Amino acid sequence: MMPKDRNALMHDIQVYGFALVEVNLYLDTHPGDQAAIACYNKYNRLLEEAYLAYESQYGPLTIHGGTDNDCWSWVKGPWPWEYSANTSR
Amino acid sequence: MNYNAENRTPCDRIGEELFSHVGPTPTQRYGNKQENRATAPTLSQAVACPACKVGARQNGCGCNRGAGDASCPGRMSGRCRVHGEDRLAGMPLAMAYVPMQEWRNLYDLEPGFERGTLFKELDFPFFPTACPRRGCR
Repeated sequence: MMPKDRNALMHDIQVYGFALVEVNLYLDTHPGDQAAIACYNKYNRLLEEAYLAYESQYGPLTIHGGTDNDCWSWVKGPWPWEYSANTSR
Repeated sequence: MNYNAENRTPCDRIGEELFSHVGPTPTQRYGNKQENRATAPTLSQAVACPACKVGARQNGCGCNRGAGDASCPGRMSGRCRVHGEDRLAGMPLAMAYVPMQEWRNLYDLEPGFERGTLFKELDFPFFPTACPRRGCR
């Protein structure tokens, strides 16, 4: 399988992150709902995988994402105002 | 009330304690228990508008025809528009009631992302329309 490109990975991260917030809000009022918990765990795992895939290829997504040993990786990625580099799809 | 007790959700907290000063709780009024039937209006009772039955004097919808009369202006598809559909009649005023959501009718990931919600039941696209009042902008 071809590795996903930057935009596709970023899109996955946004989709999984969005789904997690939705399930999170549901679980706030239904903390014992097993189906929702299973769904949360599934998307959480997928988000972690997407995060790892993105950061290993394209650098840290947050300041907690680690850095290369020889260079501060954080400054190598696009800045938030660099629209074309950040648009998903 | 111990709000920090384990597994206390906002839903759990809506109990008698919270509403004790304003009368019976919603579940007491609208519960399915047999002993509550006398005070809980059923749907069929709500559809047959009691105010319409008693004539114009007490009739808020302005109709003096019987509730079964299809020509009643306040009536819409078997229900009195003014009185019949207020299933919250008798509940404490100024309180907001939100039905409990259930885990069902989910969107798939991509459509949910596009729609802005994972839950089909919460997908309410609101489109502004022109005000129906004539001359109003």
